[in-house]
Amino acid sequence: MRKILLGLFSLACVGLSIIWWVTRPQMLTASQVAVLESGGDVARGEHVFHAGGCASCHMTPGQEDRKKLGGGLALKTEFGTFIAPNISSHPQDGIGAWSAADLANAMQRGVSPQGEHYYPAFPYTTYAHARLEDIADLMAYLRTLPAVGGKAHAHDLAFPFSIRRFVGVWKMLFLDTTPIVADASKSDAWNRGRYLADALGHCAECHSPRNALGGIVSAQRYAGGPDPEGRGWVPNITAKGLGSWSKSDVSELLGSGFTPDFDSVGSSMADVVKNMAALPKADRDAMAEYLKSLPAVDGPPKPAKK
Amino acid sequence: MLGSQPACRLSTADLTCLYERIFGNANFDWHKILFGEEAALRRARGGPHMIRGIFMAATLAAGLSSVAALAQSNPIAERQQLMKGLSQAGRAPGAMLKGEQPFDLAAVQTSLKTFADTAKKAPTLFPVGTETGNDTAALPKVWSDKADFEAKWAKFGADAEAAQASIKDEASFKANFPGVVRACGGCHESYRAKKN
Repeated sequence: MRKILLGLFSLACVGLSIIWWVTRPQMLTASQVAVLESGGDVARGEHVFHAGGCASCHMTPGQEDRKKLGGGLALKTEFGTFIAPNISSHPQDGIGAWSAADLANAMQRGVSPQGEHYYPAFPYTTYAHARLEDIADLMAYLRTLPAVGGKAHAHDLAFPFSIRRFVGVWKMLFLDTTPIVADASKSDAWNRGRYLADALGHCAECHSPRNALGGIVSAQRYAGGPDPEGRGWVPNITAKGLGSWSKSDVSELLGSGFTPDFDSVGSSMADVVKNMAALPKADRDAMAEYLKSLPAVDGPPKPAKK
Repeated sequence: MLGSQPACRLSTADLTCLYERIFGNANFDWHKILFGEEAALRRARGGPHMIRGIFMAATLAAGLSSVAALAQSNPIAERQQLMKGLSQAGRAPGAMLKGEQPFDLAAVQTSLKTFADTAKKAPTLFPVGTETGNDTAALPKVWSDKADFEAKWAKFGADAEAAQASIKDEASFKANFPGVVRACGGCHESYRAKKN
């Protein structure tokens, strides 16, 4: 009897160790972060900042200055409420003390400088595809922004989502860290647009349906779905939804928020437009070039109107 | 418009079936029931369909007026129409801004007047009790932050009126019009859900 118990105990230990090991936060390698040491370019970093839509979540709510990144915005989801942290240059409350490698590990591997997992409400699933040079530039730019005091609240999540370590399992299932390789058969504009949409702009994070674990249903990427925050329905932006739109219509929407019918986009897309409007027109045109090339995919069925 | 009250309509076949069940008679004749035997006979003989015509017209008129009455007593439908009116009014000036359509001062002024008029009327169409239903995309914040919601409408109206005075030619149009319609996104961001 004692032997059996002992056996079960050691089995449990081995099992837990395996779980602990596979869910461990995985960081970038030393050779990868070496490129970050060269220091970044502030002007290019500002461009990455707008393309990546950082301000949409991290700017202090209730004010208009997109450079005040005190955090605090609540993102209510079915898993609980996520609170965007302070990413201002404040050394204690923000990320003022971070190295570029810290930022790269956060944005591309979803790991904090303390070696903990970040929740994928932070779209590192997209940023993982970005070039490290862009992260270095972004860090240089973020350092020029004002320090905002005050830490944001902690997330308020339901069990078992409240256990960060489990994010390791989620990452095994849904985090793909392969960099985007340019497709030589496509135009420069298309490749640029793809990079902006899939490595920085994270369009697919909202414009795709998600499964029960909160992972994007890859077969229906860009096909729209229920708004993760429960505020309506996110449109299908494959050819299924944008079939009648021209590339300039898409570019116009990104820059001004107006659809071809002169309706104006609402909710969080209105804020996305503020980021996109800060980019050069050539970049909005490039995104339109890429998005208009997405083959028609049926999204999940919309609930009946009520 | 009538989305909230799906009309419970029975088809003629349903009625025939019902009639059969009640009276055990398959000889269901609408005209006999509605207009009496004489009219039914006239119809069977292929006589004038005058009465039927009048009846149809009356039904149609009653139907139309009730739809109109419903729109008036249905703030959700009314505000949706009003918002559609805004986007329609914005279309031509929008095309002018993009250079897809020649500049037309009169058309721009008409649109600005629509904007200003709408801004006065719209805030009254969000009464308590119309938060949900009828496919409304209004977010709860319309009611929880009513003061800001109304202030934004007032600013939009004031901007539209100021632009009516300041837009005199193509140059002043291109300089001033975008500032007026920037209000659309500014308000939708807080107060309207995503719509496909």
